[in-house]
Amino acid sequence: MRSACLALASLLSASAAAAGAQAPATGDVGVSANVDGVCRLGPPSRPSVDLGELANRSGIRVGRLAALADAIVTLPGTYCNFGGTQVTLRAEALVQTELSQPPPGFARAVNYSATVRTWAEEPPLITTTASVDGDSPADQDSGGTEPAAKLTDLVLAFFGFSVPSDARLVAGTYQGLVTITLGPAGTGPAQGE
Amino acid sequence: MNKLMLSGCAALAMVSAAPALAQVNGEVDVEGYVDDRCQFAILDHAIIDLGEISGDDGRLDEGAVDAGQATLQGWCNGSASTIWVEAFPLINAAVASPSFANRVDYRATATAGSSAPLDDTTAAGAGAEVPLGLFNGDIVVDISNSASPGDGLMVAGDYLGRIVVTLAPNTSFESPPAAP
Repeated sequence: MRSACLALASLLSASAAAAGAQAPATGDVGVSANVDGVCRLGPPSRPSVDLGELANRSGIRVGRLAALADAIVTLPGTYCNFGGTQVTLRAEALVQTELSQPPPGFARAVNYSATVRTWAEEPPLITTTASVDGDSPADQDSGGTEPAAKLTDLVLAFFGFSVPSDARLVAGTYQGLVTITLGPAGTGPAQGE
Repeated sequence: MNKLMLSGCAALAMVSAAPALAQVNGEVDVEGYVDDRCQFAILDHAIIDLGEISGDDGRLDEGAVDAGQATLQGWCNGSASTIWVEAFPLINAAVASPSFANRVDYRATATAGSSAPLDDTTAAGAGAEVPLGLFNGDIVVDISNSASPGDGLMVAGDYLGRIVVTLAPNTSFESPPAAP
């Protein structure tokens, strides 16, 4: 009888050992999101660059290109939120808008150099090479690759103005165009002008 | 439980000592117990896909993140059960440059009945444990108070985070004593 009681007690105590709270249960909620890659050019500090009178009005260089000051346009708050981006710069020489063929000794184009600083270490640098009659006014160059996301005030600089053969400039209105493209290296349409 | 064992043994003794023709009764007490338990039902895993979380200005679109919600289903059968939440921030593995952010912090709240534990990803570890009690139903997980460090521009790429809801059964009844 004693052994029967012990056996029963043993059986019950074995069951008792299993009693109590079970382990906590966990539920998982995965959270995912994404941010698309984007590049934005900040608003230009001025929408156009007016160089004013291009030719000297007097002196030994009267009628020829005047000494023009460098011009700067900033694009504050320019950014790309991903790495591997570059700036591409395309520039068209200043060309007189009315006359197609200048007379001998005259030119209807003003060339210049342009660059964009503060993006990658190697900035794009171009110099337009229009001829006296304004042909082939466009040039393009891409800078180095910026490896990481970047926010900066982009600086577009114009300098080194010149006239083919240092000819006298035909009177009239001169217009050029600079296009800045910021995007993935080697791709991307123009995103700002 | 000791009472059960002693009464069981006494009954067996009476049976063996009874006269041959006398009517006797033998008793067997039947007892059982139900452990405190909590379980997630079919819905023990959910995914909140927030989609694009940057705004037109390139910074965090808090509204897009705060709209995040998912529903789990679970139950606890004991009055002592508790619930708590631990949330982990949304992280983009891409390196953040100055002026950029690759992390989104937020508050996760798990509403189960009248219990609503929460946790902020800005604080390490889980949020406070709160009573739950007997419960069976939906556990609604909400995201709110989202923010990116420094309100920086958001680095492009995928962001992954996690919210863990824990149901702890604890002990709501006196456990049987251990074996002698």
